[in-house]
Amino acid sequence: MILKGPALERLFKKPWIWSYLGTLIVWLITVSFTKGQGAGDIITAALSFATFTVIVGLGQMFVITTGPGNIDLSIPANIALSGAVTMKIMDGTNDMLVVGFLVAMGCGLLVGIFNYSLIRILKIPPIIATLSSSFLVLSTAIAYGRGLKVKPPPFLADFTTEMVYGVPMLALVVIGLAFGLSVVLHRTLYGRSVLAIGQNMRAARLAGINVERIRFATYVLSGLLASLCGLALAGFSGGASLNMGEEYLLASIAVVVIGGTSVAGGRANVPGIWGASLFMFLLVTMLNTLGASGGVRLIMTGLIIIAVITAAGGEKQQH
Amino acid sequence: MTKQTPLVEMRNIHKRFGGVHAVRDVSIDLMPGEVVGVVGHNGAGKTVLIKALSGAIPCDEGKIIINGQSVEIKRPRDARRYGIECIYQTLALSDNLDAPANLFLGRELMTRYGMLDDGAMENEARKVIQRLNPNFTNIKDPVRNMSGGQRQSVAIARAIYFNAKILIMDEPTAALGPQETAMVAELIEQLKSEGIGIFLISHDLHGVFDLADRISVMKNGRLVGTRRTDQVSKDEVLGMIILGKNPGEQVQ
Repeated sequence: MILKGPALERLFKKPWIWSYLGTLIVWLITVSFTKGQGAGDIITAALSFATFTVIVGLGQMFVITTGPGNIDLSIPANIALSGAVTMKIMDGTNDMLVVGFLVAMGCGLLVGIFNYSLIRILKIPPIIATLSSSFLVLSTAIAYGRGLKVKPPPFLADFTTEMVYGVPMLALVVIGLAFGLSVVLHRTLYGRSVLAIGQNMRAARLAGINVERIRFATYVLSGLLASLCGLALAGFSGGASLNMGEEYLLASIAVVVIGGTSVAGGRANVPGIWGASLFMFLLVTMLNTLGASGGVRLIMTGLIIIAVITAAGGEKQQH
Repeated sequence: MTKQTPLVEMRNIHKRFGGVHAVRDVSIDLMPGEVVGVVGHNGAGKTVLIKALSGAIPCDEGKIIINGQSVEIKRPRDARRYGIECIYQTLALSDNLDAPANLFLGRELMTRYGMLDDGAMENEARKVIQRLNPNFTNIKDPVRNMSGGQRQSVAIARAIYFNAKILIMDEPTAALGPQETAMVAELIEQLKSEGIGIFLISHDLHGVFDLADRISVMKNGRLVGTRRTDQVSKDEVLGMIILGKNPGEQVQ
């Protein structure tokens, strides 16, 4: 199929296209290096692991979209806490699945409320507020850490590792989640308010939008998604560990930026979160395949984020 | 002569910011179908005074009476309930949203299922914008791609769509070219004929003189005086702005 000029041009104007192109290129390089070996397995693995980044990335996207300065750095601690608490409560049996799920959501709700309270009541900038709350949350997780040797309930372990025709079940669920949140962003009052606040908070307030209520809901949403990620990650990796959220601090922000969401707020992109998460995973896979060291991988990740922000910033100046 | 009830009366309004007494004991009023210009230097208190009416900055003391009824305006939402709409100097619009989204911002139309009804909002927006500015058809573009006049049309459309009775225009022509300014002037005449009362905040005395029926002059937070434009010369008003003295005081 050949795309016609204007259609192709329109496609290339979509901010998420670059993350998918990047994914494709990185995958092709990897596969050509292995001479086609494991080409499908790499995609399956990418879908499995990207899923977790997508869950937290979606929350981070909403937070960042509410405007300059808004960010949630408590995601890793939140993942650790909800993983530890739910594994302990479910105690390796299916009996407490529903309770465990509700407790995970409760963790997310509390962390979200706590973050927002620090920002609003104590008037602390979000970057400091969520960082300091993450110390408190992580300390709670450590204090509670006796649950860490517990295996996940069989149902949760099966569900998070189940494959449907080579596609991870969890990835399908999270594609559904992303679709749902895309509807929330573009078709609901809440989503419209988030975009409006991120673009011009003063205009939004003058138009009668309750800015603080929207910000509150957004931090809670991010907390809930991080807890969901903690629960799924614990199920997937056969139990919770205190440092399992660590890599999601940078990753959650990176996928938002690479996925075409504006760091300045007011413009969000849901498909880009998936593209960027796949890209990030495949990038690491490629560098591993090519035999690059851990240091080189981190440098590459950093450079790519800087490059994307620079490119996005350049585009903005034209207007 | 029967005395008509004023659309708006603001009586003895005070506003302090810490030690700064931004508005001191100011009283102004507005009749239906009338344009009242509020003029003065930067920092004279005209914007603060008018924000007490729009709810953006509630006043500390004083009374606001709308159609003969004493009201309390603490938030922009309260002001809207009394039919007060504002068009701001800096054109408070959300740049990445299109014209219908901006027009309905904070008052979105919803479908039965609780979703945004973008189709209905576009239709309604098209109707009202068509009336104001027939050449303005690209309303689905983000407003950041629009000209100053188009952005102004969106702001004015927002006000009249929701049946404003009282319109506050803060430097409505500051961001516009001559042609667009003429268009706004025409629009003001049209709104007047519909019985809408307009407060026009400006420091462009010439523009105000052409449009307003009366002019209230402020200086250092105080009201210097209010004069009918057909009974006063520009020089006299200029003197009021600069010297803070009302030459008509002895006469009236």
